[in-house]
Amino acid sequence: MMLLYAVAATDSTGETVDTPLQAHRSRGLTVFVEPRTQPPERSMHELLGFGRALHQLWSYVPVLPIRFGTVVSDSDELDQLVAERESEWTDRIAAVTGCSECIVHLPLPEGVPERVRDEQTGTDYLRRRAAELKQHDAETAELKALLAPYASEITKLSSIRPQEARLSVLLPDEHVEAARTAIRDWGENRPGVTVTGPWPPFSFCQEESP
Amino acid sequence: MTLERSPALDETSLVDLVDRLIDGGVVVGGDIVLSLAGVDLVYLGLRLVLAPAHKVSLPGSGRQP
Repeated sequence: MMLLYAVAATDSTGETVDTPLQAHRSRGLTVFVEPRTQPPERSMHELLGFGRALHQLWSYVPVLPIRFGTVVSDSDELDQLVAERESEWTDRIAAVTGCSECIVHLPLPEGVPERVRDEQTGTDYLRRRAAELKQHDAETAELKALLAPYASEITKLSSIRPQEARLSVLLPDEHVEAARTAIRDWGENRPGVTVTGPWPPFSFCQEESP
Repeated sequence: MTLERSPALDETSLVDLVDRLIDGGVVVGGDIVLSLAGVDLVYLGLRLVLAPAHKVSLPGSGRQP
């Protein structure tokens, strides 16, 4: 059994030093795998170990990360998988090469479940919430416009915390610092705006649906 | 406004990393995917490791979150 980590376009067999990974060359791609006797446990230890090895690999070679927990039974199954996906993966690797992902956290307007005193009716409450959400949409659009000159791609991620939205940005490496500076300046009067990364291009492994 | 660029992962970075590892990346359909449908359980586990999160660091060459 093999646990899959990432796909690269180059013949990158020398990039697995200090990791448990092996480079499996198949057709025009290299898949980085870890030979295992059983699937990974659903534990933070396994997950973070996977992330650590993946991050180290990405620091040496452009890769498409593979979602944690993906396994194949043997090299024949892996070859078959590569044959099915080679074109798609090659295109996406070209799109993310030289780029990093940064994630921007945007606090949503305060959600106050109970009516404040000066709201006389449910309609007042709904109007206020609609105004708050409209303001948030406007801020999101403003941030997207701000990042457009730097970004190769931008996508909205699902929220993982209440009252917060996330935008993920694929940035050419030479634009990462400029983009972060622009976000920092933009966020100076917006408490709670936070950026994480640069990360491997986790959110840009497939074409965005139209 | 907070920007993270240090060898250690703070809470927000760790949340993003875990989220992207289990909900990002190349998705391979079919039965070769080990399902992690218990995402909520992973997040529950995440809270348990947040305390030592500052000790989690990622190797790299100038591209560290």
